[in-house]
Amino acid sequence: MHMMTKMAVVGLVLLSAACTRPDRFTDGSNVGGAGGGLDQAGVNDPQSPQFFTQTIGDRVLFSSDSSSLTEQGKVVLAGQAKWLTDNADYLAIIEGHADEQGTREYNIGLGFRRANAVREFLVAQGVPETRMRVTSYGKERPTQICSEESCYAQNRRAVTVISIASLS
Amino acid sequence: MLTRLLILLCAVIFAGPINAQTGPLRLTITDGVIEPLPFAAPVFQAENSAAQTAAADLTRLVAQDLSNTGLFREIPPSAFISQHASFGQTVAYADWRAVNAQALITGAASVSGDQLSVKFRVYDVFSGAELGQGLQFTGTVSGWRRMAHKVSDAVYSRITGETGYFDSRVVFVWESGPKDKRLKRLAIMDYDGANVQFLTDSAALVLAPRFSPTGDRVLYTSFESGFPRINVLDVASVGRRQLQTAPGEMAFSPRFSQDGQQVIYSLSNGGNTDIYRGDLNSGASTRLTQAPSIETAPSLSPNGSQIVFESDRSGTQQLYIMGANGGEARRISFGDGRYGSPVWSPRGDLIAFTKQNKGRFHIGVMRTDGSEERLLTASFLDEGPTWSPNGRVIMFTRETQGATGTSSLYSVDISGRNLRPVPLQGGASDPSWGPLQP
Amino acid sequence: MQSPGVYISAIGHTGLIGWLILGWGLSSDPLPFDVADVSVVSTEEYAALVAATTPQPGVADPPAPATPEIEDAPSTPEPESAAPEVSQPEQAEAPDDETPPPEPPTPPEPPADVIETTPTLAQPEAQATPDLAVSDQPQARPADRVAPVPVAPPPPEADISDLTALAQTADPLADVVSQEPEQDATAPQEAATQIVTEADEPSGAVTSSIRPSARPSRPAPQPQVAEDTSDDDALAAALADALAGADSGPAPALPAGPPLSGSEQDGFRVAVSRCWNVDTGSEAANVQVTVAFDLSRDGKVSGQVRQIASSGGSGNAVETAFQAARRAILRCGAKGFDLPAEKYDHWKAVELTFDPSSMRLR
Repeated sequence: MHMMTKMAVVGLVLLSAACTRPDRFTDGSNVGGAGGGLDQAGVNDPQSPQFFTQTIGDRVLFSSDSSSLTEQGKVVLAGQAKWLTDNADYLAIIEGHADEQGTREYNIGLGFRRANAVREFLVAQGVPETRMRVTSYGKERPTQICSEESCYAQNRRAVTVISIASLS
Repeated sequence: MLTRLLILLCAVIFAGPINAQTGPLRLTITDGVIEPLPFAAPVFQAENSAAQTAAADLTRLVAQDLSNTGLFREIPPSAFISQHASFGQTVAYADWRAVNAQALITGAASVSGDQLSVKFRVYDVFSGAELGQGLQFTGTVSGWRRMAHKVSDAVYSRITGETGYFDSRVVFVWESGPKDKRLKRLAIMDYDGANVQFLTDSAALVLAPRFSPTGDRVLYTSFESGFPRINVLDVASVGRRQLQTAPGEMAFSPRFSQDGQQVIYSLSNGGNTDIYRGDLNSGASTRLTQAPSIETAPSLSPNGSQIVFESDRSGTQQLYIMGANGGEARRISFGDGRYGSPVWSPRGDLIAFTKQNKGRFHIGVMRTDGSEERLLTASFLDEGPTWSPNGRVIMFTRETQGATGTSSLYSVDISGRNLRPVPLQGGASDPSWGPLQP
Repeated sequence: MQSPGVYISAIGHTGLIGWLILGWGLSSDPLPFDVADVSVVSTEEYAALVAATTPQPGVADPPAPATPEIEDAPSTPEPESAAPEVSQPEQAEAPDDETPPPEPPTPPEPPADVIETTPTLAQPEAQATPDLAVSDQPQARPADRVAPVPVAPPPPEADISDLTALAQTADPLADVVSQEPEQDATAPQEAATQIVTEADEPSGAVTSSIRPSARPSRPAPQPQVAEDTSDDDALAAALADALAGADSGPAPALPAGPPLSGSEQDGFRVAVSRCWNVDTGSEAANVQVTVAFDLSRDGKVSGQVRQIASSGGSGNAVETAFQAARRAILRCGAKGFDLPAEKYDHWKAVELTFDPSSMRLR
């Protein structure tokens, strides 16, 4: 069952990937998931990207060296899944991040794990695999710059960055 | 020797029992001192007036190269009895012994147009003998630093019996801007931090450049597309191209094989990171690890037969060694804490690594079987060791703590001595030490 | 372990990569790269030179005896002879032409600013490494020098010397040497008993590092190395001993009284140790070398210091180890070793084995 899903997923990814440019997702500032440039409506408009990033929440946090979703995180992701289902024109890039406690390469791998955990959850919630891509910035893009747990906790994150695009 | 034995036998037979000679006094010395070897480098003779500045500069830089190793200590010229004015003159060893110089370097420089020639000699003062023969280099005046490094390499090699590392370059990531908006660009410099030149702009995040074995190309990870991808850059032309991977796959942490034709790297797909080997010419790639864990930071042994890498398959980051074509991996790190970014030494006998333990980072070395682990540094964040071409010195990234934290490059002798910052004006990280230049 | 899905994924991807790369791969010619020689000595010539001037490891006896030939070095050969082709057309390519200042795609700041970093050069001159100073070891003190016996830092005005009180006994010129002529006695250079790295934790708290904190005990293996060698003297001596023993039992009339006492031997050992500089990070630190030399009645080295055995390490490393051993003997024996004159016959010939194995992990 799980295997079948995976195979289907792989097929879909290969197909879709072959006809979409990866960098199409990333025009403008995808870093930090601020959703810059997507300001056509207010925070209260459920169709707006601002609603997604601010009301639903565009990110989930992780504990140290972990890629397990928290209960709180799952609530946020369920909201994201619903929004993405309702707004089928949007694509999402899920960025995994790590705090600075770790080596550069490992943190990139860890970021991928986190991003992938989010993607798998969203897929399970019905968001088509083809609308999502994952990437990892490791520890290269912290949002908080102090060297304390309070900052680290904010930096250990996966951010869902949405952008409008149509599938080929 | 047979003859000597025969003579001895005859002597014994014919002379009959004689007074036995007392054998030599045999002792074993196990304790020594570890200290920089004092050397004297009187200012190189300027053979014409145009060479005045060059001669002084060359002498300074040679002395500085040697002193910076921590293996040598310069005797201040003010202590000299004789200044060794003329290059060709007989060396007054007694004068140099009296100031405790164990090695003496003399030289001369001449300038003609934009051509600079430097010649030098090295002496073992206490043996009263020259080490090797005089040598001369010629180049341009503006290239005087490289000539000085070449002199230093030759001196180093004659005194230590090992090759030097002064005429070498380091590719690294130049950093600027605050921590949360850091700009990074590839740069190259002389081993001592001089002659910094940029190889890329700061438009895209770039990470972890790695020199090719001959120093002509650099592999690095770029986020130009928003996804980590491996680029290969030609140092001379600054031309670059991207190694293609399938969409959905992210490649990073590359290193060249010894022949410069292949790349070993990490590839992430679906949250899993494994190690691959790819051919730069044919584009063919092979997957070398098959674990659901993070396998990354591969580094080939100098003979190309093995790969050391890090994996968290045991639950935490540890070091493993496998064959160059994958297969069974053997764990080699067993101490407390986490181990990452291993690099095989050019000599082949040691592996440098980053260790994380009790909230501190260390650069350390261990033998390839994991024994004799030695931690060389300790700080808030040390990582990413790279070996000098002779396997004697390790350069690495040190990042300071806090909101204003910055990165800089440090070097340390593999004995753990002589920790020192690489003088650069600005932030820097991810050094990769290139080969000795031809 | 792996699900078929993963395999299919891998195969699919590999295929895709292959397809994608092939197109790209065809255009990947080996990149031409000009390398300019900085020296008139080409790589081959240089290698040849180095090879020619590197002492052959097999040659135990260095050409230069300790003292007599000091004034020798007559009319040092012109270095030009070492590198005859001084002026070569290749010189047109300057060493730094090799790396034409790469054109940064869009350099925000002019590279020229960075290329000349002369001011920073002064920095590495600093002898003390700041980080070492910060570390807080209560017991082990980082010092530039590591010696068997710890030595307190000298009074600031003292002239640091390698040989204690060398200035006292040195010829009158030594006073000129010293920067403070009025200061006759030189202080021994500050030394710690082990290498203190930044990673060494205070109060001996052990990380997992395997490094022994104390040096191994002294009992040094008698140099069996010496026996392995086919050296004439060693064999001859052994043979003589054997013959003497066989012929007349215990050596009959020993020329001098009792052999050196333990403390006398220790004194001699320490006297040499003080000048034996071990580079623990070098390959020579893997080499055990045995050298032989003769002493005159005043305790000074007479004749050459010869290498008679070695084990471990490559040719270059052995040569380096030998040179360090010879330097130790010549330096610390310059004024004559302090040995009991009445036992001269026991120490007129000496064989010292230098074993750095316990130093390596300091």
